[in-house]
Amino acid sequence: MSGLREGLGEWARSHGDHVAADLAQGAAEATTRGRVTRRRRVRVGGIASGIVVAVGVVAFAIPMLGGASAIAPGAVNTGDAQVRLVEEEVPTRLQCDLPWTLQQGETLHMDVAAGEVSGEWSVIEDGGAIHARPDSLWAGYETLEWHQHSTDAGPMGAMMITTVVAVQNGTIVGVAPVTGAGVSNGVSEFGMSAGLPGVCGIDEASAPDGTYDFHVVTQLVDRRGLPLATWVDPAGPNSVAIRDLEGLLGPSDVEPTVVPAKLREPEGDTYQAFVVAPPTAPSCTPLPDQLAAGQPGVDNLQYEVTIPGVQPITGDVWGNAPAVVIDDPEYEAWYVGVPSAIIADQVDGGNPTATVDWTTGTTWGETEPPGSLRLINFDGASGIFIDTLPVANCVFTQPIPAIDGAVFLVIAGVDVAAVEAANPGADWAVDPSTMYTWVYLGQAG
Amino acid sequence: MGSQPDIVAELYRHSLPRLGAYAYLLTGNYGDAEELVQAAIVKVCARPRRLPDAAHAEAYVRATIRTLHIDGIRRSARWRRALPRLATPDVVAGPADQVAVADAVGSAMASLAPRARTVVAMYYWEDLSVADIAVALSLSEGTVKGYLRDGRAALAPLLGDDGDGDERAGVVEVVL
Repeated sequence: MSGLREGLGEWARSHGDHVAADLAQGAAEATTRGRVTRRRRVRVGGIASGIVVAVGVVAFAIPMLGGASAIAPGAVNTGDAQVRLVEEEVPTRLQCDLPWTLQQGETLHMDVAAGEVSGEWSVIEDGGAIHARPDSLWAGYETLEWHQHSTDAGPMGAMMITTVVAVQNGTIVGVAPVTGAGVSNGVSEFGMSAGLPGVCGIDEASAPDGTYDFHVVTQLVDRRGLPLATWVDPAGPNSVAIRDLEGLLGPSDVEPTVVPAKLREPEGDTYQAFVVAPPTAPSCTPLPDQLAAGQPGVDNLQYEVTIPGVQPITGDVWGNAPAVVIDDPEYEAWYVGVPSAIIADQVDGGNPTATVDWTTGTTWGETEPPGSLRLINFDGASGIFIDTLPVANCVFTQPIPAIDGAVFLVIAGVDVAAVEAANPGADWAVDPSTMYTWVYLGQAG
Repeated sequence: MGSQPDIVAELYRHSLPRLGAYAYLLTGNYGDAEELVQAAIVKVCARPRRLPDAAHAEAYVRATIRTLHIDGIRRSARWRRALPRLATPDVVAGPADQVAVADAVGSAMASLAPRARTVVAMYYWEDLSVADIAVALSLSEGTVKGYLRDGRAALAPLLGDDGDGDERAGVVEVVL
């Protein structure tokens, strides 16, 4: 035996190759590009109009209809008038953003006794009342349910897998968790939630109120996963007008609300700086949340800050490595002594905010007074006081993290004169003394 | 700095096996793993980040895979709590995954609870410390160690045990 780590790695890599091969073939890359484009469009346009919704409270489970084996045209037809072959090309999986192309009917892929599938749609109110064949739904207070009956058949080890999808304008926009049950050669029934539009697995999607078509696909598969029979919409599709989707899913508080500013690399000791409002949303990581949300943005006032002695910023700053070392312990600047913090695009563990303070004394990581002015994390460093920080719940176990991407020094103050000099006629919408300065220190070193 | 479309192409060209392996370790089935990889790439590339090259992008995507997976576990729990009236049908993996779990390691991984499986993946694939995993999953370090013990108990008979205990990283307690 090669050891757990190595053996597990080999095992995972073999399956990783399978995943890669699946994704490398077909339209996966094109689909990804399309999703990237749409997400960007939603970020820019949707945020402004307030229609962006985030992932709802639903499990992600992307069904694999047929898995490696697609639903194949040319299946064996039983001759029953109700049984129809799927004529057109169909997706190998029911996935958000793919077109809905299946037709109502039953397809036998193998010459087996596949049984029968039927069912009905209903809406369950919050109070428990059930309405059959609903045409409207109040998201968050009512649940759309597919109740299925089946006369099971098929060979030993076969399994019935049912998926409900929401479709709008011919595109799948919501996928409910896949539900499956072993075939018992009897009559079985179950109910499953239809899920909601916009709940596309683990991805985020836009889902405004409106009318959606819900479809059901049930597939009988053998023990190897090969499809034996497929039923599409045994009770017909169900169009439902949904309201309050936005209220239920709500916007994510970490979604970008700004268009990020273009960053300019430092020139000597001169750094690009931005005036940024303090965070307002309660969070244990308020400043990194702002960074993730796109701050600093193109609309933020910019100016320049001169800081001598900035060191290459690595994860060691989260420990006892100084971010700035100025040989002159008497050096004076508006930011010296002002509470500060350092954040980066990517911090791989612990508290993503490095608390730093100015000192000329000995820090906990040093044995000799250095005789210089340093911006460093040390025992007793106060950091920035943020009154929305739920301190009691914000205890981090802090490793020395690996960091990556853009690094910012956040100073709890603003050089108002310098800002106004760089932005003549600057209109302070709020008291400038309450604003922060974000100094772009460059890429993580 | 490459443009985002180039980053997508580079990720598809060079990073899929590694990203797919991690996603499969976390999810245990091909369908979810593929969707997880795709969703992470979309999330990373859709946001206007400063990605200097594909290697950096892969690191972002790997971290996003982890985050999305953990979010998924939490949402799953919330969703189940939110639907007390509904029958709770067994959720099964896609049919291709019935084949995948036929191997012994796959069966052992499938026997682990979702969080235990996640802990094993983060520890053995990403080389994260117990402390980091505890923070990421909002668990105590003791709970993480318990999940690791479960994982080792299931996997060591098949793969051997590295005997590396539970902990690798020295840590410092910091309160912001």
